[in-house]
Amino acid sequence: MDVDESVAINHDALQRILRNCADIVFRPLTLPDQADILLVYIEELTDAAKLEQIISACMISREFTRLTQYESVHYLSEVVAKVLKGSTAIFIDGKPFAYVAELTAFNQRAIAEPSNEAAIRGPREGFTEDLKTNLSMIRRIISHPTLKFDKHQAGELTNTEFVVAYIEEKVKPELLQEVRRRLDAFSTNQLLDSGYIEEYIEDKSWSLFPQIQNTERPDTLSASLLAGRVAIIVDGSPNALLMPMTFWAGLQAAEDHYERFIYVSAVRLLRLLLAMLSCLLPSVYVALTTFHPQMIPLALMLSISASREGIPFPTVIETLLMELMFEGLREAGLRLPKAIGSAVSIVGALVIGEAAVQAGFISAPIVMIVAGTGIASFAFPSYSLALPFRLLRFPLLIAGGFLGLYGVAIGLIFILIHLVALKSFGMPYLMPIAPIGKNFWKDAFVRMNKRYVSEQKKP
Amino acid sequence: MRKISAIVWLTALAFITGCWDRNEINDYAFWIGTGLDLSKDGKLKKSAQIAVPAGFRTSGGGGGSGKRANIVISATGSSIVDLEQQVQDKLPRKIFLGHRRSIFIGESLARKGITDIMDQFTRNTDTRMRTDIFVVNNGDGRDILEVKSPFNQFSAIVAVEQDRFCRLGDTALRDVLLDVGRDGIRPSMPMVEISAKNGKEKDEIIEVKSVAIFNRDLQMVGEVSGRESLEMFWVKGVLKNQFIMEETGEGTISLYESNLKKTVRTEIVGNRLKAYIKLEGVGRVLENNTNIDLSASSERRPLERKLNDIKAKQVEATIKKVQQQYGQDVFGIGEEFHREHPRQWKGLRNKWDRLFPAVEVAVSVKLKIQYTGGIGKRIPGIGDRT
Repeated sequence: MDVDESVAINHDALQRILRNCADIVFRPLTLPDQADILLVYIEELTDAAKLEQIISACMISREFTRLTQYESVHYLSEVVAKVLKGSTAIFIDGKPFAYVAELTAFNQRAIAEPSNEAAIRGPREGFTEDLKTNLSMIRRIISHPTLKFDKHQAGELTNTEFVVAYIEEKVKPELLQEVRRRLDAFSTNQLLDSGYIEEYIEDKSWSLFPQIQNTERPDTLSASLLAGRVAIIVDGSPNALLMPMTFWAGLQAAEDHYERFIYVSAVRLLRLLLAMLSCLLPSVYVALTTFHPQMIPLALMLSISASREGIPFPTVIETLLMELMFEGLREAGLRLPKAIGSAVSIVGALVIGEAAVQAGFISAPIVMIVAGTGIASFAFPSYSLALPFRLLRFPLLIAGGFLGLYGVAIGLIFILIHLVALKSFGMPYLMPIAPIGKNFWKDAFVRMNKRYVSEQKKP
Repeated sequence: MRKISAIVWLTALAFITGCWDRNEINDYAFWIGTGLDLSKDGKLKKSAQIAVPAGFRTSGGGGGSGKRANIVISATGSSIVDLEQQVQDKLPRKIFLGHRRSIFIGESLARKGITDIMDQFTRNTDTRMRTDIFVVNNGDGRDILEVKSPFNQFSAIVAVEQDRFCRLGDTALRDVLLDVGRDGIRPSMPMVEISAKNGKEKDEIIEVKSVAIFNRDLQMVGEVSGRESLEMFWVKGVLKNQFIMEETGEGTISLYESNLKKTVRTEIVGNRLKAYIKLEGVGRVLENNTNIDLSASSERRPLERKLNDIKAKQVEATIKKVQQQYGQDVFGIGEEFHREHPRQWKGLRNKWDRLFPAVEVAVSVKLKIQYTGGIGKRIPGIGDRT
């Protein structure tokens, strides 16, 4: 519906569309020359001082355009959409359009340190929920005209804005085209977080492994853009998406490129080891003790055997129970207020760790194995990559408990086949290890001295 | 759909392979050591040292209060495997041989011959080739298993560890079997004995000081002990280091020799077989009861020469003794002939037991004194120079 020249008609039409919307203010004014003016806005999202300035300017001279940026909108539906996003619409008698000005001002969270990707060294700022703030943070890091922000909108009901960011010089056109193609195919009526988009556009949403990286660090995002990747930043979500993602990216922390490279290389190897442990430790323990006792040194074997004396459960069940208990503890502690959170760990440590062993329900080595696994699973810099490992632990444990190391090997082969076949936006998931890249060792398992890594070749 | 059915079938395939040897660790009886003896009526007697994990825990926590973490079970019969079944009949848990560390053969059985026993060790896949094998000097295998060592819950392991430090480390079953399979060498095994110096030591201390010599039919024919056994292993080429004490005529001198090496050259001159054995080592003086100033090369060199001459004579005497008393080539000199004269060896191999006692052996020793210790002369004359 077009905007009418008569303010009264516009007023009626808008009130029909926006009935029962208590937060929307209709403010009719009559100018000294008898002309009617109507302002429509949401009070909480509008800068009151600016609004008053504009109103007084209208009263005096009908001329407010120099006070603010505005655009003329001819369709009522568009006006409604803009008003709902926080803009102010001004209808003036005799004008077949509405002035829409962005006088937005609302309360938002201050920029804070990213809580899930803390770094010892490097910038301390993290993304917030506001898209514009987030974009400004990236622009501040990469002040170059080739950094592009493509604006999109999705969600029929939520009308959420999101931005596809890339550096024109660095990004491969095919990648950008593929991202756009998938975004075009994607439609939803609600877009509440970047996770919604992720699930729609990733290659295999049935896979356990994340194929799109998420980050709340502007520096990580900028580094990825400079490496030719594409980012999607969604309004209302502090987690931006990065694509394509490789497995190794999930094992790398932001500060890997800030700290000294020898230390980083050692830490990366440690992380890889812990990653393996976090899914293999319980299953290998069970396989070794119940199928291959000849593979354990005699003294260790006898200690394990002694501590298992009188335990009522088979080792598999014992391990499974403890692993479930641990996962439960972790899930319970995750969302509790900080004050109660510590109580959970005390109960967990005392009841499960201490009492169960004392009472002879659970053998002491199992507690150590579960604790070791737990620690190993906390070593992932990327939370979303830690999840598949947490989950895969259980099928592997069952395979190990039924078939021994043979079962663990079968399980691992299945996982590896899947990982090798997996692709993220055309890039093999295990790149640059499988298929092996030319400078594969320079930034995967270890990080080579920056002097010897050419800027162009960084993944 | 096809994908899912493929996965289901593959998974099912994994489960029907028959790899179902799951067993809880506590359902195994860990067999740590075996004793093999000849019973009074000439049958085979097998003893097993079985770990008792519960005992392991209590003594591990609060000091060995005389409670043993093992039991010894014996059975008498005619074949090893039959005996294994008999031992199993006496145990509530499944016997597990994968952790067996040692086998002790009673001397009487060893002298009777162990061919019948060895076949099982080579055939049975449960047997680890790294299991150590000993002959019990003047005793039964079972007696060794009953020893309560203060160092380890299992006397079977004590013997293995002791052998490592006082003789040659691994005289594993594997090495014995390798020797058995060759023509130019006869097997030898270290011997353990229960040291009975006094009542207290009696059931606690094991001694490893001799070596049993076997003939081609795996019958024990004799033993060499002490210094001679070390020399024997040196010539055989398996000794890594040793303590040497020599009487020089003006007092004794003791050395710790390491990096021990041997090289053997052989020669066939007509009907005469000659072997030249060269023994080498690097040493450190530990004790000097002579008046020689070791820091002076002019005094040390003659001493070295003298030591080498003495040692060479001793080794020659040992070889002579083995040649004449037992006539078994435990040194592997035949293998050296085999290596250097492969064609002639074909004619020698079948009569080697007859030829070996007549081999003319010449030994030269080259021990080097590399470290003389902190002082030159011994205590009363510290700092004196002549």
